[in-house]
Amino acid sequence: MGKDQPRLTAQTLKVLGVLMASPECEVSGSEIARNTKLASGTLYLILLRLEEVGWAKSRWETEDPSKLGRPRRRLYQITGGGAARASAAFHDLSSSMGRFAWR
Amino acid sequence: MAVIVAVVIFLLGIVAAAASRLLADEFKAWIPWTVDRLIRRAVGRLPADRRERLNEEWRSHVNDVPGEVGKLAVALGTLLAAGRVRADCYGRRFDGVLSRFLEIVSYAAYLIVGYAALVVLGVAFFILAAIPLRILLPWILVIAIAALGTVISARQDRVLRMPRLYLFYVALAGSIQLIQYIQGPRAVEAYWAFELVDSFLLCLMSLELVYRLIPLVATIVSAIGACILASILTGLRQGLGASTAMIDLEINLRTLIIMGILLSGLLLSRRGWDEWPRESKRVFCGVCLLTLSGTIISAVWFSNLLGNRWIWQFFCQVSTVPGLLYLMLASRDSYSQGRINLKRQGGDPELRTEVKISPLLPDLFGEAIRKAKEEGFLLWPDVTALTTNFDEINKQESRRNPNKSHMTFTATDLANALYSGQAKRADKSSDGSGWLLDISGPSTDAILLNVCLFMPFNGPLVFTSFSPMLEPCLL
Repeated sequence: MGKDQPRLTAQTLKVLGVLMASPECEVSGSEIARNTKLASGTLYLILLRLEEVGWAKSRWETEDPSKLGRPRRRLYQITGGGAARASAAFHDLSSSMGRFAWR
Repeated sequence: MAVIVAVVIFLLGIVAAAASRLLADEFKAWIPWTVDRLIRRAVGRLPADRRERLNEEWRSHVNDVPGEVGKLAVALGTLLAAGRVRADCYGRRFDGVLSRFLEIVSYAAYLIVGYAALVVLGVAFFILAAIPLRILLPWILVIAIAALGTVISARQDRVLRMPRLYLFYVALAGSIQLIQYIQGPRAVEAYWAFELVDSFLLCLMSLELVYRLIPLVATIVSAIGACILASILTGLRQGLGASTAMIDLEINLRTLIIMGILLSGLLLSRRGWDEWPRESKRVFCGVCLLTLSGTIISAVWFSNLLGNRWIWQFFCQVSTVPGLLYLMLASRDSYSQGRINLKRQGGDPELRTEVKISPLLPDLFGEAIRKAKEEGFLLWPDVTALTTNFDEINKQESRRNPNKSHMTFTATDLANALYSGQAKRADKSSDGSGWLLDISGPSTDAILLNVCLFMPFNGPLVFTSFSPMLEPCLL
């Protein structure tokens, strides 16, 4: 596993799946947790790793927290490179799984 | 009976319902506080560069979760997340969590062992510095110190022979044995006079060595130990996720503390506390205060850096403890060579001396002195000459400080003056006015006893009167 690729565990794949479901959309950590059913203890380490290797990017909400009446959300979005490499990884994985299943 | 039981059950049910409602409300009321504490604790476990971001992000996540129990579950999850993020961060920094774990364990082991060694060394040095004349040293240590003395004496073309070595040993062990030694051959014989006087100088030099060197060595050991521990702690702190800027700041502060300890130790090793000018004492106290303040500030920094891990704070602070402990102990005059105060007693500043011995002396040496007298050894009452060059010293001191009411000399100064022949004979003053020699300090006893015992063979020396405490056993 290089520095430019995260460990593709089942949980990581789940997170990637949510991010790639609508690549143009930004989703918060709580929304990803709700869709993946991952606990916060697992989720945020995966998100940080994806961000560090450049597969995902994040930003704070631009709205003022005082006007929102709640803490700002951190919004995540998959990057172009991340989407391509994630797709390739999904493809490799599915083909490996297919060969394994075929044999 | 059944009716009563039914009523009781009914009432208990009402109470239980009310209580459960109360408990539930109470539980619900405490959840926001609990969530806040959990997140705060989780954030505290994170590496410093991740704290701000994840703090807000986790609070936002908790806010998005419906229901109080759900919030609590997410908050508990952040604790787990913090541990994983931290482990992941360290794992990448040191190529694996395992190596990082081993590194921290080894650092902690070094720290514990190093600190224990420093404490042992510090206590040992203090004991040696405080009571070298009161204990019987192991022969191997005596040989080692005497060998060091041989190096010095060899420079002066002196040969260390067994009687001198023995004399040195008994001088370190206490003057009682010295007296017992010279009970045998009569000191009036020229050979023994020569031996004793030379040995006295050797003893004197060796005592100088012990009293000047030990505090210096203790300080250097403490400073080096503190530096080593500080470097170990640097690695430990980096592993614990403190930011580089804070670490640098803390290390700089610690360096200043170590420098303060070193400087103070050097100053202390030059002269005893008693002998310091008042200004120097003030400066020294200022340095100690700064050192203490620096340590407190440092502790606060650690508190910020390391959160509530008090055990790490404790270990991180111990590196300066030996140095501070030494400073505290060394500031006492226990290792000082003692003090001779020359006080003006009356209108006649001429040469009348009075010797006051530490109260310990009669207790420790009284019996030996009495026994020596019974053996016919030449002792204090037999010495009839007065020795001093203090009038010249007094004139110099008076020019420097006209208002000074007394003068301070070390016992070594006195012995040097006597031995080098600078002392001169003088008559007793009949009116009781003159000078008062006030001698105190544990090591002074032995030095003074050496002076009194050896000087009769080398030159004139008299002490016209003694402190009342000593008189019954001597006069």
